[in-house]
Amino acid sequence: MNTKKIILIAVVVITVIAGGIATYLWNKPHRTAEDEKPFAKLTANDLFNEFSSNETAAFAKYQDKVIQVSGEVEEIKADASGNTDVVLTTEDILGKVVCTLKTGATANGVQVGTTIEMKGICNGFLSDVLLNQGVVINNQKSN
Amino acid sequence: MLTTISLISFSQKYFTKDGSIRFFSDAKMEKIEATNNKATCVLDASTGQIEWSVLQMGFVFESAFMQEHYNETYMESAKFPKATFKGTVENMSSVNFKSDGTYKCKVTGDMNMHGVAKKITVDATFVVAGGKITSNSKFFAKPSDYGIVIPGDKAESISNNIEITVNANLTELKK
Repeated sequence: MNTKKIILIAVVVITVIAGGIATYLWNKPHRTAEDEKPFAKLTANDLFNEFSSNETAAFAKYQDKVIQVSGEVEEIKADASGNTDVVLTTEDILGKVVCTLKTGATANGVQVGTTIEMKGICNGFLSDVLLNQGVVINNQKSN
Repeated sequence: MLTTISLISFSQKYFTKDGSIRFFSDAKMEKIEATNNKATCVLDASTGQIEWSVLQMGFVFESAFMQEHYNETYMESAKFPKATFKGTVENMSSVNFKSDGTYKCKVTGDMNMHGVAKKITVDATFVVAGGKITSNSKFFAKPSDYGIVIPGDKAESISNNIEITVNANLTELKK
């Protein structure tokens, strides 16, 4: 085998490997809360209070982490992309914990006014605590 | 006392917590799109003051890999979790939220992202139809204006001028 051939084969092999890695990375599925153990389990009220009393500290603690949160369902609605938002109440009249469910997931069977548990990835705090890539994990939580 | 009362009654605020912000990067090698449907917007129709906020980590990309890079490499979302815009609708008095119509406006203010504030002026439209108010705007932003460095080898994958589309259905804030 001459040098040219070896180089050519090397180039082809490297291209195929690089292409394979690129394809793998490109198609890597979205991280969802469904497959992960929660970093923390708490009530919607406690989560909201942590953010409203010290947003910086709460963000540092919870950002990008899977949170399991329990609370009373105030509203279930579709967002502009067709994903489902589940809104949990807190003791603050304006403060909510809003969890956007992962694409394709529904709030199947969840009734407004009931207490549920769900998991979501914490995005941070605007006027509400926002979670996404979420799933409802228990819709018959006894009080 | 009377002044306070009249100020309150003249202050008409509109808001949403479900505003959509979509950005689109149209580069030679790749088209990248991301959407966030949890932007907040508050508009004071009596003064024209408008504020937008959005969480960087709430942007959803088609590719999870790109989403990771957006937050970790480019936006540094752990350090700069929000993008905000604070500004004024220049010709607010020409918009009548009680009367159906399409109102074109200019909005000027400070856009703040990645820890850098920049004054921008954008075209925006308010559409009033049957008591419903929608507001939208489309404009371009340069990553370099906000201290976001796109490495040379990504120059053909990430545009140096990103199209941003903003959409909100505003509801009157009842006191």
